[in-house]
Amino acid sequence: MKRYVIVGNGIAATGCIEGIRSIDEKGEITVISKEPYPAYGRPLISYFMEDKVKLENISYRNAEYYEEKNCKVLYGCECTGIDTDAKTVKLNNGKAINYDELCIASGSSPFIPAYPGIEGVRNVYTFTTIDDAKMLKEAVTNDKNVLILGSGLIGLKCMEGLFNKAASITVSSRGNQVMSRILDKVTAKDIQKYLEDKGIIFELKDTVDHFDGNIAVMTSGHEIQFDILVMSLGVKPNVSILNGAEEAIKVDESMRTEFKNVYAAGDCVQSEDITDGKTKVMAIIPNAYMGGECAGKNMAGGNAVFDNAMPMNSMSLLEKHIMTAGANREADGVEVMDLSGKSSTKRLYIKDDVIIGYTIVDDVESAGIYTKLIRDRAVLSREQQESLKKSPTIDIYGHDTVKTILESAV
Amino acid sequence: MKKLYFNEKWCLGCRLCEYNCAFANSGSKSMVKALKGKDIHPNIHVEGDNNHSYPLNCRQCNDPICVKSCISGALHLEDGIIKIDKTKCVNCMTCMMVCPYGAIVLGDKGTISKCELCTNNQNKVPACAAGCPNKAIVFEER
Repeated sequence: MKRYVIVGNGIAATGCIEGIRSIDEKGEITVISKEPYPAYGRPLISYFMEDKVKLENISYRNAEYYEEKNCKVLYGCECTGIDTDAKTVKLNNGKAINYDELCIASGSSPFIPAYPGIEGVRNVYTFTTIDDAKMLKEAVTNDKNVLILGSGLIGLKCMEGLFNKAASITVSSRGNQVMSRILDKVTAKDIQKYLEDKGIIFELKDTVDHFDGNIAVMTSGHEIQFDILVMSLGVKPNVSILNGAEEAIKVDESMRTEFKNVYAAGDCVQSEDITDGKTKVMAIIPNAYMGGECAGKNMAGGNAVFDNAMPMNSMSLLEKHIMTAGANREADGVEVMDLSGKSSTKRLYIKDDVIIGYTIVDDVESAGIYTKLIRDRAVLSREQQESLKKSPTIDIYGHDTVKTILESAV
Repeated sequence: MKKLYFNEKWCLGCRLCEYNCAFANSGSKSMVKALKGKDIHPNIHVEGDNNHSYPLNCRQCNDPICVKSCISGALHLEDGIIKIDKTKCVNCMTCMMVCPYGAIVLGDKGTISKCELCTNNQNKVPACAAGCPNKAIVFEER
């Protein structure tokens, strides 16, 4: 009987469990869960903070899940190192466990810069775990001024979670736009304006020089007084357990690492983005699940590949809905098809007759058809590209495919 | 298992399926009360025009990318049917971002909505198929 060990208990781990069990019903699965909770989707913590999701509903699977999948979960247990020669995983309780097949799905942790004076700041929070959200939810009251450092997805979802709960919310970023990783400048400006109209204060192109108690002294000289500080300046992969690694773990299309019988998936890995050919961390739930599932199948002796990862995000910010995928920026050789309406945005990015990315605000229905065309790297004729100007339908796949979709099990 | 299949040749584009679907999922006993003068949110949609049309809804994929992409775990498989737990859905629309058929739609209750083959309402046979005047929609094993 094979012994499987999974380091981490997030969505990649869930995918891994389900991948293993699709092939091997009997093998022994041990999951090392640093947090004392069953797997949950991290983005849900902002919905928990705004009371849209209850804690009892936050788990990714049902209460009997681990029992049904016959998994042993070591809650509150941390992996401190991996011996890839002896095939053992060391734990913080001094014990070690042996594995035949290992999956590292250890995720990432908030990056916290060593600002001068940070030790004198009261009420500093990060925002990536249930416990972070619980503490922040308890700390915030409507007489408190909140300063959020970082205007990426985590910072802005935290802002949404705190909206209407604080006296003021200021979001600061070194860059000159919000969500620089996923949005172009124009869309970012629109979103910023929308949020400003709701009362959010943005301090862009500025960074903290030092803290003087609960005052952030910015490099511009500007001083921001706050009661609560949230650090959302990005994350770093939890990979030091693998021979002291610092960079996200490289995996091939079967999710294998360079070490024998060691796989990795989720936010701690880097892999190729099919839309620009670059190797990068693409820390999103669909990739975590699919990468984990692929790893799990291969750990159990299967022959799975996950070779079409790309960045994509679908999120709301105070009722505005933003969907982005792939390489959604202007660049040499990239044609931008702008299908924006009066109150919505839709831009498709096309290179060599292939859609490589999009940015959509609000007009999101059937966007999955664009995503599929990107994922399949489908070469589109002039006529097909012309048809993109209408609402997306499956007709773009061609009549034979439409017939298959309508008439057979897919 | 039985699923819904469509015959493009026989579809008149009458959109009765859209109304029957919205009614079946309204929980109301009166079609008029449920639908008249309201924005309807059917889980099936007729695409196309007079000479070329077809209805389309969730294909209940065998290996569903929507379930694998769901950020909350709301979407799940139950006996081959892709179901949504509305107490868990946060309306992030990630499923709409990945569904290759455009078959997941915005519901009226702050969650997404999708066809569950009428297993979530009182109908024994999916209402779209039962009410299709031309048998362009069938519920059968293939």
